[in-house]
Amino acid sequence: MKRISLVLDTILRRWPVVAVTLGLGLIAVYFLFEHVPREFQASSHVLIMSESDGRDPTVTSLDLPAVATSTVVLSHVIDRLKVNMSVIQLQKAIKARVGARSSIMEISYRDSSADRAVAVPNAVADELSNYYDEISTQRADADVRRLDVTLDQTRRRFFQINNRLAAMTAQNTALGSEHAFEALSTRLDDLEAQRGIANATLQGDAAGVGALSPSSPAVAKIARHEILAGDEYFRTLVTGTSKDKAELAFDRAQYTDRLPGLRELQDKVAAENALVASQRERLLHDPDAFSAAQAQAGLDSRKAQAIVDGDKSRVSALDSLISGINAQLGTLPAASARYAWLRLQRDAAQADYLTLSARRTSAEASRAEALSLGSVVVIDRAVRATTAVVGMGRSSLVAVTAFFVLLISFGMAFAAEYFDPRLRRADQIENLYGAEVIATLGKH
Amino acid sequence: METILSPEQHLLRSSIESALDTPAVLLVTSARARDGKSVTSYDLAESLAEAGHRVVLVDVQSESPAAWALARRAAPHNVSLVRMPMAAGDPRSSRAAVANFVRDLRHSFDFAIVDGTTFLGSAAGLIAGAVDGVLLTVRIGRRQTEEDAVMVRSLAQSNTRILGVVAVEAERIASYERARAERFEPAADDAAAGAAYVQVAGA
Repeated sequence: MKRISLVLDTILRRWPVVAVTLGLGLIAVYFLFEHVPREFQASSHVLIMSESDGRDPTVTSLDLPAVATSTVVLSHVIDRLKVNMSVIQLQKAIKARVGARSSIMEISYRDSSADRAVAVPNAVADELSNYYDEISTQRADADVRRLDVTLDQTRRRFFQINNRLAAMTAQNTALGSEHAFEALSTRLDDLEAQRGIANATLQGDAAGVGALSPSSPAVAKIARHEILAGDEYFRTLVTGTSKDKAELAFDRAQYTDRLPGLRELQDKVAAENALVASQRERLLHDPDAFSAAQAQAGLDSRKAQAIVDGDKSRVSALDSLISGINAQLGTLPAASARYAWLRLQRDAAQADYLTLSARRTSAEASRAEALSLGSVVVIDRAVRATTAVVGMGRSSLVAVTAFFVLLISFGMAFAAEYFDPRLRRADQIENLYGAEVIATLGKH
Repeated sequence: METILSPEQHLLRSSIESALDTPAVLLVTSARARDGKSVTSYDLAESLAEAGHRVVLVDVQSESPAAWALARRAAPHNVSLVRMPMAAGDPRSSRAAVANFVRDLRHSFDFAIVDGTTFLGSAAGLIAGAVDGVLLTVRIGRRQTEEDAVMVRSLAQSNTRILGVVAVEAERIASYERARAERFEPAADDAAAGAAYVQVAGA
C-alpha cells in the first residue's frame, strides 16, 4: 500500500513530465494511426496426404512449412504472379503452420493489396503441391532425364552408322549382297561383251562414213555429170561438136583428105573441142556449181559421222563401267570388311536403344509409384482477404500503443524522479543519512 | 493554556520517548541552514511538555541579545528556554564546559532539547559528543549537497547515536518563520533582557 502511494505520489508530483510525454506520445500515435497502411490477410489450406511405407524419400508434415516458405517455392510464386518483390520480402509476409497432430497446413499471407493477399497463398499452395510432387519423384525424374539423353545419343549414333552404310552401298551396290564377287564378275563379263559389239558397230559405221563422203570418186563423178548436164550452153556445144565430128568422120570415110572443105571442117571440130573442154573446166571449177547428189552425200556423211560418234561414246561408257567394276573388284575385300563392321555397330546401337527404352519405361513406372506414395492437396483456397490489420488490428494497435505511451510517460516521471537530485522521499533521506525518518512535519 | 498538537508532533514525541530514557539531552541539527531545526525543536519541546515532561529548550543560535529575546518570547509557554551561545573564544565552548552544561540540564529536566546550529559548525559537533542522541532534520525538496555527506561521515566517526531524521516541508519552515516574525515583534526591552546573559529563563 505504501509502495502504491509512493508511486501515485511520484506520478502526481511529476505530472508535467507525464503530461508532456503523454501529449507527444499521443500525437505520435495519431500519426501512426494515420500513416500505418491498411493491410489484408488471406489464408489457404493444404492437406498433407502421406501413404509412405518407408520408401518415400521426401518430407514429413513437420517439414512442410519450411518447404512452403522455401526460396524454390517462393521463386515459382513470384514468377507465376509476376509480383515485384524479393523472395526475402515474400518470405517475411508468409506464415505456414501445421497444427499439432494435424495433417492440414494453413498458409497465410498479408499484403497492402487485397487481390494479392488472396492470390499469393493460393499460388503458394499450388506451387507447394507441384514442388512436393517434384521432389517426390526427383530420383525417378533424374533417371528418366538421364535415359532420355542416352537414348538420344544412341539414336543419333544409329542413324550416323546407317547413313554411312547407305553411302557405302551407293558407292558399291554389291556390298549389300552376300555374293558380291560373283555378281561383279558376271556384270564385268556382260559389259565386256557389250563393248565388243559396240566396237564392231563403230567400225562398220566408220566405214559407211567413208563411202558416203562427198569427196568419194563415185559421188564426184556423179556430181560432175550433173553439173555439166545441167548447163544448157555446154549441152548445145557438145551437141554441135558431136554433129560436126560425125560429119567429119563421114567425110573422111568417103573422101580423101583433099576433099574440099575437109580441112576447114577439121579446124572447126578442133575449135569446137577446145571450146567444150574450156567450158567443162569452167563449170567444174565454178564455186557456185550445184550437185544434188553431192549435197545428199554431205548430209548422209554427217549422219553417219554422228552415228560413229554415238558408237564411240557407248564404247567409252562401257570402258568406264568396266574399269569401275574392275576397281570395285579390286577394293571389294576391304570395303566388305568395313561394311560388315559398320553393320555390327548399327545392330549394337539398335540393341542398346531397345534396352534403354525398356529402362526408361521402368523409370516412368517408378515415378508413377513415387507419385502415389504421398501428395499435398489444396483443400481450401483463399477467396477473400480480411480487411483488418494482421495481428491486433489498427484500433487495437493504437490502443496498445497509447497504453505503452502512458507507461512510457509514467516511466519518464520515475526517471525524472530518479535523476532529480532533490531530497523528496523518505527512502532518499534514509539512504543519505543512514537513519530512519521518524516524522515528517507538514504545513501544520 | 492547552496546545493542540498535530499528528506529526505526536508521532515525533512517541518516537523520542521510546528511543530515550529520561532524563535525556538531545541535539537537533542539520547539514544545512533552514533545514527545520528550530521548527522541529519547538514542536518536539511543545509536544513533550504537553505530555507532562519537564522540558528545556537550549538555544545555541541566537547570538545577539535581540535574537535571544525574540527566541525567548517565541518559546512555548510550558517549556523552559536556555541560551547557550557557542561563539568562538567563548569559555563555554570547551568540551568539558559543554559536558558540565549537559549534566546540569539532566539534573533539572526530563528532556533537554538543544536547538543547534548546522552540524558543520564547531558548536554542533562539540555538543553532539556530549548529548544522548542527535535528531537530524532535513528540508524536503532541497538538493543533496556535499555537506550532507560530510555530516554523515562525521557522525559515523564520532559514534554519535542518531535518533532519526525529521523531514520538514519547506512550507512548514516558511510558515514558522513568517509567524514568528509577525507575532513576535522585537520589544523595547529585548536588548536589555538579552544582555543580562540569563542562563535559565521561564523556569
